[in-house]
Amino acid sequence: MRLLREIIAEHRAVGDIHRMPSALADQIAAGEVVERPASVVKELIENAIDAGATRISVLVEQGGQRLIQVSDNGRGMDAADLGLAFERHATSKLRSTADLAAIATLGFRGEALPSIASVAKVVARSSTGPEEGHEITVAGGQAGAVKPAPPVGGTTIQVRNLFYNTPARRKFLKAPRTENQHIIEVVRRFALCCPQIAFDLTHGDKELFRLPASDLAGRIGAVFARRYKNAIRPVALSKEPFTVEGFVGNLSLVRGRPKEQYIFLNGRSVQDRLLNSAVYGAYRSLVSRGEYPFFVLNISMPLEAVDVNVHPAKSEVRFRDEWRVYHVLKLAVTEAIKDIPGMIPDFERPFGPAPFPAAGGPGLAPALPVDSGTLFEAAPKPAGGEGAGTAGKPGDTGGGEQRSLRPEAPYNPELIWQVHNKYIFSQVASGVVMIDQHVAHERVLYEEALKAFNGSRRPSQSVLFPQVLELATDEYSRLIDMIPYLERLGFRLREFGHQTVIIEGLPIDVAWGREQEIITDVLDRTDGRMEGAEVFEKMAASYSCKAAVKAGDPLTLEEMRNVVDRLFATENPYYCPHGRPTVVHLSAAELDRRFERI
Amino acid sequence: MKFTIQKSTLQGALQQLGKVVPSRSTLPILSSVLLSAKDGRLSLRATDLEISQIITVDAVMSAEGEVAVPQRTFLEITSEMPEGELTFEVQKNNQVQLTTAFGTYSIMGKPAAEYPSLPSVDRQQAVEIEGKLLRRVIDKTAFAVSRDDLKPSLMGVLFRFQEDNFIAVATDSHRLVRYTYHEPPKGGYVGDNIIPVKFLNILTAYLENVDMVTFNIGENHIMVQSGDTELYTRIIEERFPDYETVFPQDNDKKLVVEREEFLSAVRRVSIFSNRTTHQISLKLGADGLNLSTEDAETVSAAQEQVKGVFDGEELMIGYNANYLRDVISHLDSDTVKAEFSSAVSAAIFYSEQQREGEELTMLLMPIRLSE
Repeated sequence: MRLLREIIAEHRAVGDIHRMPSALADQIAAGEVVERPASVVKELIENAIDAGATRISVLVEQGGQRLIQVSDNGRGMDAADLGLAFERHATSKLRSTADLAAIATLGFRGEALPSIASVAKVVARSSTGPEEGHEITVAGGQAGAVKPAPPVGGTTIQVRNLFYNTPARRKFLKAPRTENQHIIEVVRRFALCCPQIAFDLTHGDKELFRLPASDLAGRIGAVFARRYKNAIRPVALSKEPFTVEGFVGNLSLVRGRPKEQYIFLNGRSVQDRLLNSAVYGAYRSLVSRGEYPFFVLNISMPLEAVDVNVHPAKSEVRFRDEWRVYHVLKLAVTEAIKDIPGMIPDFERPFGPAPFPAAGGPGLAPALPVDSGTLFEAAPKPAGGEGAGTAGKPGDTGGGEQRSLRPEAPYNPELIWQVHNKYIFSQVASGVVMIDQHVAHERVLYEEALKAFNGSRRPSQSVLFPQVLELATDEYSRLIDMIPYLERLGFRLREFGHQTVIIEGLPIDVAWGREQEIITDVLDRTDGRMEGAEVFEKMAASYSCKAAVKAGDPLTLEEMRNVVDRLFATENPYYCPHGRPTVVHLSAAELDRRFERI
Repeated sequence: MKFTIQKSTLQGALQQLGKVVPSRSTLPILSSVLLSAKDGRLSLRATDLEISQIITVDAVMSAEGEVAVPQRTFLEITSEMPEGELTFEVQKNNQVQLTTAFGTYSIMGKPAAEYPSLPSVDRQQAVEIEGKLLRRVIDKTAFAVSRDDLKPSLMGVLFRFQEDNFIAVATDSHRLVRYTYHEPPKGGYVGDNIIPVKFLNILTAYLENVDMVTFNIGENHIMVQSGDTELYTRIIEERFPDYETVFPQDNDKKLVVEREEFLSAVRRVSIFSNRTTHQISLKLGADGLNLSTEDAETVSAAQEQVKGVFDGEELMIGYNANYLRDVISHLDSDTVKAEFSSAVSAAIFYSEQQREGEELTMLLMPIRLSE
């Protein structure tokens, strides 16, 4: 077997231009569509969905290299269609250029089957009714004859020995375990996109997914973990001509990697920075840089408002009016999460290594090449595990739970202690609340600062011994521009010439001696641009971080109460401006569990 | 080491040392007091590394020696004992045994070698001050000392011994007290020392019935002796801010008001001020002043009129109510005088009738009120 590039080199050596053999052209084209086993799975599932299937079964062996089989119960093909299906640009889905402007089906290029068949051995069986079916075998792009076969109630396509004739491509395949992960991800994507379709996925003799038709919330619970169902909130917004639906996760589902994020545009999975950033924008002050919220969102819009024919893999799209899409999406998510700040994160496996195995983890065979905990929760719970104390409701007590503390007082000013000069603990009816003194004060100052920028100026305590601050030329001119804003925070500054300003007054919360550090930090972080809400947010974040009490500062009882009272009077008491939690709740029930009282 | 001592003597000494022993410290030995039996005298010592106190008491010595004993436990058991004698004996490994007519008690001591040594003070430089005067100086200045360790120089009172007078100054940068005594203290020493406020608060308890106090001033430490007690303190080696230049010279808006009336009005109105800013505003006019406050957070407000004589243009000025209250309450004449210039500059407060031989003046910086 010769390498593709040897073939090309040979042709090139002849030195003349001629038409490529069609097998070679197919192989090259296949490179665009069929990158790895997972792309085969993707193309075949797309065809199945386009055929109106309500149940799709995927069977793979050895990471898809040995076998990929996708069976559906869709419309099926008759003998003539089956013969045509493997000819390039043969498609049932697109008939004219006009159709291209309004693509409603997933596949449309007519490339998938011929491309796959050019790099593998493919057997396709299909039947349009219960009476009879047909099959065709294609290997290395050479189609055999269409033969009668027993009916399969839809279409089943078997792809064997992928890349058997393109060793270069085969060499780039990763271990079966990795390839299988890609396949799982593809199936998961479709499963979330089409919860009304039943999916199953089997790898060798292991069943990885068995997903009955469901609504989206149920599907999310089945695809990830049951606790997700309690940790998501619905998104639903219609703004002509757009509709946004789906679910976003609350903060217990925030991950350190951009993994569990799905956007479907008119039923097609898309990966688009702009759309993602619209969602992040809505979460803005709730998550930090490097933290990624969970979302599964379906966006519907008129077919002509979007171009999906940008890339053969069809995961990139172009919008006619991308900023409008951005704003509608951001608005939809903002609406959905607007009460998250009112929810207090519950105590979540805090003491060192988790004493309870992660949900779904222990029951899966170690060889199974998937992240434990992200699959369905079929795994039996070990005794004494997470579900042990809650009488048949495993998963409901997991970390995904959030409780609203609104009905009871958020803390008890009589039962309040400082711990390690860092945390404030208070006993409440339902357990213990624990507050990080620095981030709590930071949140307070942050909101006060934003309010000060938008309206009421903060008071300023004058000082007897004004501080002189000397700056480099460029910094000095930036600081001069910034004086009106610093004054709103409660500083009082006077230009003194020679690149110096005099600090004559301080915000009430700022101790004398900290002013220089705070002002230079605000200066550094805002880069002197004095427009837009983002700059205000940056100034407020920098100011509040520097001016807040630090971990290690001892607080008097009065100071503790003051910080906590002000914290619970803010709009977002449970998260600091960087998205870190300010308050953690340890329930009395959790304590009881840990001491094995229940 | 073995001695016999009256319970009340020991209890009194341990109680006094308790004020020096730090409540929390990174150095565990500091929660102990050091007992030394030597030359027929028993001394007990406590330190927080900044302040040290030694009390020497009468005891009947049987054997000399030294040991460190946890102050709290030692005081607790001593306090619970009936009047009478008790015997203190150190056994093996610093094990301390207390014996009374009723029983025996064991406390684990620590080796004396672990205990920090006493600072040495050059006793050549000395200043003598009347006990009553020193008490008054501390009472009038200590409240204004800063509690924030960002500016160490402000965490003590500046004692300025000069050839013809003696000045004490304290400030936290928002308010300032200057106490001047028009006679130089005895001893001929001239110099400035910033003395930690904690030391002054401990010292003041010893000054009640003392005629004269001697400050022995060394390189880095000061030692004050009073009867059987020696108190040592580190001197804050920082530059005190140049306080004289901040005294305003041309504050032309002058208010005269009854002190008690003013003070109680401030107390009442401040209850309704914002819990964080404590801001109240003073409207100064021909009839005296109008105090008011408003807190948007708790939707509370208060205002009160205080009669007085005001000379000058009308002025609206804001203060931290706590600071204003401190200033007025530490003046001690029936009538208070205050001089203002603008809503952002320092005002001067002083007693209308200064006491003979002294001058007590306070500065207070305003709050620029929120909009």
